[in-house]
Amino acid sequence: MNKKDITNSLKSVNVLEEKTLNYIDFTKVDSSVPLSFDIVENSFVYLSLRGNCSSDITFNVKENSTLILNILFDTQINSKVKFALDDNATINVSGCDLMSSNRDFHLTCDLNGINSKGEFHLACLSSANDNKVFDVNFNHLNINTVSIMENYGISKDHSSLSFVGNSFIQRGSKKANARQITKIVAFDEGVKVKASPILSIDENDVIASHGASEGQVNQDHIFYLMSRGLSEEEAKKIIILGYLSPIINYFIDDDMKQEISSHLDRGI
Amino acid sequence: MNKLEIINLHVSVEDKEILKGVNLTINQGECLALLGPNGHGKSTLLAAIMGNPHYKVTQGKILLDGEDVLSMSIDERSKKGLFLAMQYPSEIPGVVNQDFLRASMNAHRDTPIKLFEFYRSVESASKKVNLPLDMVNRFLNEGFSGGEKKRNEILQLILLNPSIALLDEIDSGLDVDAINTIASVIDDLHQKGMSFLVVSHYARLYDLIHPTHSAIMINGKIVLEGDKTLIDRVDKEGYEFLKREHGIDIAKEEKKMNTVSLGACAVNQGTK
Repeated sequence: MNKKDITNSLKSVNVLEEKTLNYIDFTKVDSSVPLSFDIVENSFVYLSLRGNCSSDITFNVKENSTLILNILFDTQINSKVKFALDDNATINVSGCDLMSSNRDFHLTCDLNGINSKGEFHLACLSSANDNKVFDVNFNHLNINTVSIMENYGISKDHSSLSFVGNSFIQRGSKKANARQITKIVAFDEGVKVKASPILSIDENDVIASHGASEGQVNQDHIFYLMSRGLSEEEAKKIIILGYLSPIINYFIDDDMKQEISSHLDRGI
Repeated sequence: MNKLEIINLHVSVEDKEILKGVNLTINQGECLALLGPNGHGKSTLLAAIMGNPHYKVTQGKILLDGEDVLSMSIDERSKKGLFLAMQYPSEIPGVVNQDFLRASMNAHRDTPIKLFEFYRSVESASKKVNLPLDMVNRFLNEGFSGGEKKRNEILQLILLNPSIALLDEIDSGLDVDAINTIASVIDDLHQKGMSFLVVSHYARLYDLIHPTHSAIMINGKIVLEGDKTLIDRVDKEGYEFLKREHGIDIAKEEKKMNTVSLGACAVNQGTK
């Protein structure tokens, strides 16, 4: 797939090209102004983001269209990202945050259209004195809407990591399906971790589930791996990699995949 | 030479003494069948030998060729030639089976195994335990059936080729064909000189792997040792003859009341 850097051609309202890996590197531009992207009807669009970004970003995803969005949190992305989905529209958002820095990221997805679907997958490592907050909201506002949220995090040193997941199902949104999974591993004694899965449901005819766990590395897993000859450090590393590395499968950009893989090998 | 000696071993779990002075010796090439009712310490013994931190050794010695096993870390015990096939192998999400197998094999080698050699080894072992090769691309034991988990344990046994294998109810949950398959592997490795300490409740497995001797553990102690005929007798009569003929009382297994949670939708603050 062709990769197209659209960083320098950004306007306040943008239309993304189909069958192209659209790429924005916010380290190259000042991006404090709000940005908007329109995904036109019946299109299939890829977009990768990275770099410094503190602006609010809005995506309008029209009927029968799909947006695949990859976010590499490699420096300061403290944005409010909003999605509005029409009938049969789909978004699949994946984020990977291995950079040591503070983070305050908010995502809101309004599932306005019938059969609209949103997915959010995140792998996050917080270390040193990082304070990272991810606040993800899916609003089911029509029938047959689907949301899937998967957050995996590791917190090391004296860092803090908080995942807030909020799935709201409005009355009348029959057959809505909302799912949340959040897992955080507290690697060291001095960390603060918090998983807050929230389901707010105002309709009976729905499927909704959430699971959240926060705790230390499972000692039974460590024992199992060590009993096969791995040292404690190796055992912990392989478990942590197992937590974070599946996110690579959601990324489209080969350069980003390679970068995440190298970072995981180097940084854990 | 690979000799495992367990001398006056006392082991506690959460301050409750489970093993109360176990003495056992396994010489190279021997296959010891360890029998006993549920809850009398068989699994505890195996876990303690491997170094499971849940089990605290309060007294006694474990020696491997005269070396103090208790002073070794878990991975050192593995590298010295001990292997524990677990009754309930851990499911480890995200850890791909082949990455784990390769890391485990490399931990027992001076130089990393080459990719081609690794795949040939895994392919060969997979055939022996009748597991599909694509199983190596799945997460470690996650979503495996009970039988697949046990086969995966035996697959690791083949690949790591330890000197002494501890098998904890490796036949539980297996169908007849699967028992025949893994028993054939165990018997083959035994013929090649591997030593075994095997815990099972079923004579069927022992019939297939031909133990060289047997022992019965009651109330955290070895109370009787013998040969294959002892296994056959337990299979026919149970353990009641121990009281009649040897005056050994068998303590009943304590059954704790299940903890019932009335709550839901809470964040699991644990170790998962």
